[in-house]
Amino acid sequence: MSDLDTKLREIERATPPQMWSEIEERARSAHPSVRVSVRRRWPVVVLAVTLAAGAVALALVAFGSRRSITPVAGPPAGGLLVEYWASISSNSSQIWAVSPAGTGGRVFIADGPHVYDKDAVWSPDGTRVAFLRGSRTREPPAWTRGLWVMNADGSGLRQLAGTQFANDLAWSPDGRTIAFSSTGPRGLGPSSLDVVALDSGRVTRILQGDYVDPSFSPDGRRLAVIAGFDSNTGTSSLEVADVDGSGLHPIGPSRGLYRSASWSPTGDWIAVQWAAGPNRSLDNDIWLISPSGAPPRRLTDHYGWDGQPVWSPDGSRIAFASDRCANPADVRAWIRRGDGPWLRCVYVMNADGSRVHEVFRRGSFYSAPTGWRAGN
Amino acid sequence: MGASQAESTAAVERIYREHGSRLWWALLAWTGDRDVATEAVAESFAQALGRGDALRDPLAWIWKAAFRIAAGEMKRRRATHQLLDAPYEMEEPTGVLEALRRLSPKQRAAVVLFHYCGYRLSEIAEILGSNRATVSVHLSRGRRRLRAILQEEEQ
Repeated sequence: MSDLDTKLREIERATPPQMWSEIEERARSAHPSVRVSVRRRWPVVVLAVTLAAGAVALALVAFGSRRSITPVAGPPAGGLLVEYWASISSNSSQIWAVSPAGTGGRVFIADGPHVYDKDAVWSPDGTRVAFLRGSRTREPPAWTRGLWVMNADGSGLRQLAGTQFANDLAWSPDGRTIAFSSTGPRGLGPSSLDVVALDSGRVTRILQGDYVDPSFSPDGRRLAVIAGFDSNTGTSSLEVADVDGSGLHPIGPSRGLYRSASWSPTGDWIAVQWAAGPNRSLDNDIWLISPSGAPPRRLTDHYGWDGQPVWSPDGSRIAFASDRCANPADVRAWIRRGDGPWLRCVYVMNADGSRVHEVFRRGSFYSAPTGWRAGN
Repeated sequence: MGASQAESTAAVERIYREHGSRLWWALLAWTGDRDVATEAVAESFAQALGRGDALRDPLAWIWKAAFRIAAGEMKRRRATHQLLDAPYEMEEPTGVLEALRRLSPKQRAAVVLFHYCGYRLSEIAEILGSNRATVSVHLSRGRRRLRAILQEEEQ
């Protein structure tokens, strides 16, 4: 222990306040409308459910005090699914359907202050949507999360699995399974990779360790994943495995920070968010990495954050999130301070990086593409 | 409360019990303001609770968020002239804190996080939004200056 280590411990002569009660109260009051809204709506929901079909009532019983699910707002306005966060809280996200041409969009899955939805992806044939939904229980107030599937018109909504700590959904090309990353008990620790079967709901672990952002190859035989993501050291790797988790091996440059793998529909490339510079958590770009070893291609070159690429179904375009819609001075400040980016909008570009145009901007927080289906 | 959510909350509470005081002391040493330190600790832990299981590494996130919140509050106070040259509001004013005030904010942060909190350079860079080389420079200059100040006071 150095002289300064010892000297600095004099700081501890000051007495810290006891704050846990205030912390809990702050956390509760961060959603002041939640409790009120749930209490007001609950009798109405129960009455409606009671009058509805018996199967729906049984589902409510099965989920105990969890609120019922509001139906979707109707057919999607566009084929691009966007996750929009209204605030820093992960409990604020909702799913929008947006036109990739930038001609508008609207809330796709209806929600309220007591529900959040995230990570929505289309089934390969574009007829169904899978997403993660968090619901607020009434007493005591708490959030629980599950993986839900529904038809594109909002019918057939069902919970596939109670995946409390799931993230990063990827629907297999044959439509039979959904891969996702899943953190350990208590939501802490590294994420392993699981798949859930659509027909049985059975969850199988295929990669134990530290893996996120799965993406299926178009033939459904392989998975791309991000391994060992560590924002503290600014390192992770892009790896490819057979769909059962065997044969795992890294591809692409061995340095830098990878995130958000997205395998192209043609199978030639994996789009990733990647950076190897000094501010790699906040100054990253979209790159194409070849599974067969071709040299990487850089698609964007922006001083700031470009990430979360999603391919169009025909492989001609890529949607991505970026803070390029924010004030450049703010972006520089975020990078200097090491936080943010606190505003992200959604952009679409051609697969060669040309013709970048904004398609979604809302509020003062961030949004990101999560799925894209053919047709619009 | 769902079992998993309860466990997630319990995990954040455990982090508060084990690291809350140390975080508060570090923020106090950095900002020189009890209120800023208290606000930053309370808000960062509350936001961690609100995010539930969404945090990959709650402890790292809380440290980073607390320093960001404190920086924002310091900036706001400077803008509104609330941050005067008032002395530390300490129950027992200490020489080391007075000496720390004479360092630049970046030197002070690097010294506190390295020598008091025990973080590595790369971790400090992550918390402060800097890079390892820059933190190393601030740390080197900061501890040289701090040692000189402390020696002056002893003489």
